[in-house]
Amino acid sequence: MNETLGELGRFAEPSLYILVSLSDGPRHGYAIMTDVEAISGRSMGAGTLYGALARLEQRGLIEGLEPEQRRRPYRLTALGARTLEGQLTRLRSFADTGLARLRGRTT
Amino acid sequence: MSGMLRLYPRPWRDRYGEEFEALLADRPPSVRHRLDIVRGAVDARLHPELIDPDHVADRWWLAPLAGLGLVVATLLITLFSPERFDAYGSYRDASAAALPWLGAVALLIVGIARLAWLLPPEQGLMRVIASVGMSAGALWALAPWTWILGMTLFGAAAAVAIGAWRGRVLPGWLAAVLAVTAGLPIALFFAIAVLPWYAMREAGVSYVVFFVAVVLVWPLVALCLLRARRQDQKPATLVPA
Repeated sequence: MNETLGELGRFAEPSLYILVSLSDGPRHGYAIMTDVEAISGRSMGAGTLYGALARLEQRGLIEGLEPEQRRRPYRLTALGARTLEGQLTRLRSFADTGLARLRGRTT
Repeated sequence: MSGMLRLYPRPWRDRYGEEFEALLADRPPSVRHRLDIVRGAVDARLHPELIDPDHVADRWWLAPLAGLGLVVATLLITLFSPERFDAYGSYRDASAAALPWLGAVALLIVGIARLAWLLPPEQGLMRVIASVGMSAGALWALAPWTWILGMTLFGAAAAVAIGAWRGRVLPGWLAAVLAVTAGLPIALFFAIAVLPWYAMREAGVSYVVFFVAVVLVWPLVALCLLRARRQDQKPATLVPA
């Protein structure tokens, strides 16, 4: 985790999922929840979802739009997009390193 | 409003309540997700700064709360301390309670000092009064039988409460509760002190109220630190550097 998400403690991982979920366009809470389930294979509770949303919004990584029938969509900000890109690049580098070492392992 | 939503603080409900209820209507929570909501509500109460950046986001409130634990320890040690006899009769040797008591008063002073620190500059007089009271309170920690010093410490808590109310650091009701709770032991102390000896025998209820109010000051200072809002500083920046 980079510093921005790492400092979110137990909300770091849900926050990353939320940022990925919003990366292709705005979504409201329920849509984020179902999308995160599809991405990660794990369900996310409403308490965790809104705890993470509040932190991301406070840090300027996402922003709320006008509500539509009581459901407020959220979208990624420019800062959020940069943060997510950096985060995913680091994760890819980490995964590549791990896989390369695994392939080169002598048994 | 759903029962689960009521667990969250009001500013949080004002900001997220409607969409949160819509989400719960779309997907009624399972037992596991209900626990997650309870956990989220506790988190929202511990981090009011997420909704309102003016809220003080630190852990100073833990100091008086830990102090309350030491007060309880002091009371228990005193209650179960060995009985001694001397020429004047019997008494309980509570010397083992000296250390937790010292810690309890020190942590209360830390809490009051933090509240005083949060007062805006125009509440300087209340800060000065609080400083005097806290100095006396430090002596009370070393000599708990000198209740007059303790009353000065509670005077400090009352002064900080008044300053916090006037400086809008605390909600009015909370500042009033702290001021009254801290002021009550002072009023009772002086009332009991000037009562004639035969009236003292009838003052049992006053003693109970006195000690309950004394003990309540610790959690109240903790609650005040949890609810305190900055007035003398700019809100913390939201976007990380």
